[in-house]
This record gives sequence, structure tokens and C-alpha cells, in this order.
Amino acid sequence: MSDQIEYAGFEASEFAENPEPRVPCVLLLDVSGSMSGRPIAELNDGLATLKDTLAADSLAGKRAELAIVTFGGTVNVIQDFVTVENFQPPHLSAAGGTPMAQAIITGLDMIATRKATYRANGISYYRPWVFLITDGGPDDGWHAAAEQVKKGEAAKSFAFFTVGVEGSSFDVLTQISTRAPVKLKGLNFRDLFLWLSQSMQSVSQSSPGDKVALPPAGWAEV
Amino acid sequence: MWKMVYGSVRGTSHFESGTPCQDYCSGVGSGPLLVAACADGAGSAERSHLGSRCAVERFLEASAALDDRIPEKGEVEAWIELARDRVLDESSTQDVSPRQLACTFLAAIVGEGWAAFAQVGDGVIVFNGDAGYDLAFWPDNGEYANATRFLTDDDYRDHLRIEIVPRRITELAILTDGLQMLALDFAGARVHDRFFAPLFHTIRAGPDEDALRTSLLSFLDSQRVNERTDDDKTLFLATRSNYDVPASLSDEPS
Repeated sequence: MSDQIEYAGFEASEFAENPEPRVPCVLLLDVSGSMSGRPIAELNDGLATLKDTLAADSLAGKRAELAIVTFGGTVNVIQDFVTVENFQPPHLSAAGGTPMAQAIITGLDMIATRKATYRANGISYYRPWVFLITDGGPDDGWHAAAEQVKKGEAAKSFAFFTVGVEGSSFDVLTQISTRAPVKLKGLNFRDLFLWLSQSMQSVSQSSPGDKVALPPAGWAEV
Repeated sequence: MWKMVYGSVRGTSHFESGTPCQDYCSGVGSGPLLVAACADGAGSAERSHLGSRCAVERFLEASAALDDRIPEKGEVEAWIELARDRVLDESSTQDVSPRQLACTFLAAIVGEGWAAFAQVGDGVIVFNGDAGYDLAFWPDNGEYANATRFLTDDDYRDHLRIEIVPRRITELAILTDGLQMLALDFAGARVHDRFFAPLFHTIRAGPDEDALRTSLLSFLDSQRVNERTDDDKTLFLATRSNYDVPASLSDEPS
């Protein structure tokens, strides 16, 4: 390798500093009154697990972005998109009705805005995920929201997943998303979020042309 | 006369998963004429390393008929179709669907006072311009970072881009998407000049092509590069010799 001493060689090449591509995920979380007690406690623990697991993976920690919209009485954006490094798991409490439809529309709007921000800054990104987690069903008119979900899925604008605990209105969830709703085993939010973090890790490492194989969902009831 | 140095190196993620290097690259120089092609096999396609190889080799064969005259856009399209047909034939021979041999495709044909570029999918073709470096096409990733277009796609014609540049080019680089994040300034949507200038300088100032190839491959597999990409990476570099004489005075076959 003495050749390399005589001239600077290829190593003299300087690399462009581009931002990492992003893997955005918005969580639509049911914090209505019926979630009080153990369900909300398990959900909070699950969110902490999500942060810890993603943060432990250096690539996913830089690439995965999380946002949270809650619906319980009112719809609140409690966390706009941040990378995992800057994500602080919230402590949610439960009260009120289930304005799920409005939360869906809020979440989809946030995705559109986020994509515009990525584009304006030359940041490449993966298909955003929406995760709706509920123990009931919408008590607001959901047809317009369902329409928007179907349109977005058809255009591959995002992937919309619904997860219901025992007693949720699965018939309505089926009509909201083009993907079949998944029934959570008991209150196993922890495993759900472990799965979500593993899936975000595999997506954040995929290259063009990769069809990402998601890990098996051990938290779902078969 | 062209000095050409090129190679493909398996990405660290491919090393871990036991997948072969799915990139392929080759070039032929003949007097003032240079033909080069690179292809990047889809990560999800089991035999895409074969697709890349078939496409590149067939394209070089097909375009060999060209002497130093500007090709018509239609001719370039026809050569690419021949390259694609070879990939489809290979998929029949292997008894798998064409999708299993999916690859992107990049090609450059450079003559004395002109150049023709063609591309399906991502990756970058870079050449020297009036001020800094130009790129033929911005990489076509579709909307998402893990999506692109392939030569094997049924609608590949909709995504095939061809450009003929009527001026003299003396430096050419082709790279696959594994190096895109290093070689392009995404926010500015332009070539990162400081990536390319030392590379071309090295080709000009360095020893013979074989020795340069060895150091190019070790550069592509260096920790500095691998920290920024875990994908297969291909780099094709060519510089036109300073001793070129005008075609009218040249005794080289043209």
C-alpha cells in the first residue's frame, strides 16, 4: 500500500453530511374513561418500553420518529414528531368519551405536514405508520375518517394499523382500516410496543427494493 | 483514451445476512469512446445479482456497434431493451419470476464531443461540468427511501430517463445508491463536489488501473464508508487522458 503514501488517494474524498432517512410513526391512543386503571397504566409502561427499545438501537434511534395523539373527551396532540433520542414517554391519564374519528383526521394531517417538512429539507423517508389503539369504538361520526384512511392506503401514503383490546368495536375498526384489526392479548401493551420497535428497526435498516418482513406479532390473539 | 477504475463491494448488511453483492459494473474504452454500465440488484430479490450482471453485460455488447457518432435516443432505448430481455431470458432459464432478478440500471456512453446517459431507478451518474460536477438525473426513489424503479418492472419505460449531452466530457463517475448519501447533497439537490474531486484527481495522478482498483476496493470497504452505509456499493470512475488529440489528427480507430 506504499502507493497511497505518494498521493492522497481515494481517502481524501469528503462525504456529504445528509440527515438520516426517517421512519415516522404516529400513535393514536384511546385515553377515554374506560381505559382508567390498569389499561392506562399498562399503556404508559408500554410507551416507556417503546422508547427504551428504540433508543438502544443506534440506527433506529436516529431514524425512527414518534408522534402521539390521544383521544379521551378531547383530541390532543401530546407529542408532535420527534426522533427517539428526543422522545420523552408521556404519563397519560384516562377520562371522557371516544372522539376517535377526529383523532384519525388529526393524525393523518400531521403525517401530510411532516412529509412536506421532510421534502423541504431534503430528508428521505419511509412510508409512515399510523397505529390506532383503542378499547372501544368511536362516538363521533367516523365515515369521513374511514374514507380518508382508505384513500391514503390506496395511494400508499401511509400504513394504518388498528389494535383493539377485548370489548372493542371490531366491526367498526374493520370498516375504518383496510388492514384487519388486531386483537390485543389481554393488556399486553408492552409486547405490542416491543413488536412496534422491532418493526421500526427492520424498516429503518431496509434498502431500496426490500419488502420488509415484520417480526411475528406475539402480542396478538390468533 | 480513457483511464477506468471500478468495482463493487458487498455491503455490511449483506455480509451479515449472507446475501451476495448484488451490484455489478463494467466498462469498455475504445479510443475516445467509453461505454459503462452499473446495476444494483434489489435486496429483496433472491437472484438479483444475476439480473445486474446480465443487464450490464448485454448492454455493453449491444452498444459495441456504435462508432464515434452521437447515438439516437431510440438506439439507446433499444440497447436497454436488449439488456432487459437478457434479464427476462435468464429468469426463464432459472425458472423464477423476473421480479427475482430485479435491478436498477445506469449507463453512460461518452464520445469525443458528446455523451448519452440512461437510468432506471436510483444511483447517480456524475460528470464534469462548467462549474463543478453535474449529474445526469436525480435518483428516482419514488416517494419512499426503501422504494425504487427496476429494469424488470412492466412499466420500466415510464421510468427510463435518457439524456444526450452535446459537449465534451473528460470525467465520468457512476455509483449505486449505497454511496448516494455520501456523494449527493440532498438538501441542495446537487452533487457534493468534494466527494468527487479527490477521486478523479487520484485516478489521474495514481498508478496503473490495477493498483488503483485495489485501493478503490479497500476505500469502498473502509470503516469510514461502512459507517455511513450498510448497502452494496459500486463506484465506476473514468478520466479522459490529457494526451487526447483531436479526432481528425488521431490515428486511433474511431
